[in-house]
Amino acid sequence: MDAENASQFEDKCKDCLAEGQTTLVADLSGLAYIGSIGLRSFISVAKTLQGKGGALRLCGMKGLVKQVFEITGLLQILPVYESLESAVLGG
Amino acid sequence: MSVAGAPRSLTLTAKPASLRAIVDFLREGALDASLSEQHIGQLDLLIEELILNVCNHAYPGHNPGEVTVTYSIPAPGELSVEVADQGVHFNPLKSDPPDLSLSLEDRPIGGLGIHLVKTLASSLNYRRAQGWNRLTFGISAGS
Repeated sequence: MDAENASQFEDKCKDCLAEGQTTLVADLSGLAYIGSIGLRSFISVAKTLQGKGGALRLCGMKGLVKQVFEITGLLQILPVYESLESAVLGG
Repeated sequence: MSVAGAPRSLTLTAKPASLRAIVDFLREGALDASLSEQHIGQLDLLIEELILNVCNHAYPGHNPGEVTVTYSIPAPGELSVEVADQGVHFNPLKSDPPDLSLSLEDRPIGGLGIHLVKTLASSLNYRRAQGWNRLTFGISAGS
């Protein structure tokens, strides 16, 4: 997720919000790259969802993506799950 | 293969659309330096942050100048990269570090790019010389 495609993720999340959904699960198992532009999108969406009483749940993080979330302290403030199933169940 | 003393350079307009060509250019160096997939990912991230930084800060106004990216291979498993522009004097390494202890509610949306650069680069230096901003970073298999 880079400067070219970060907005696609944000737009998709906005569509879900417009449909009334306030908790979303992002499965990152297919994501190999993320820079600060992508992080901006994640933080922005997570803040919006939290403001509506929901959350952005993440799962499937690995490699560089996990490292980037770790370095920026986002693993501590976003709900992260080991699997898609546990992220959907929440808790 | 590029070896010490034979750096390669690419000069393009400092705009986000130039990023893809710069990433591809540096990947040639990464392959020559035998960097791992993990380090190539870090290289991609570092160059994206630094090029976007030049695009956003170096040339205020509507006519962007140029950015020159140069790489060399000091030793196998190591890549040294310089990002140079003739824009306004700007040292991104002097920016305040983000407060990572803030809650999601209080977190600003941005401000993480240079923090990532500082953390992932094995070496990092900035100097202003003869009207040029020159930021050099290293990627090393040992880091």
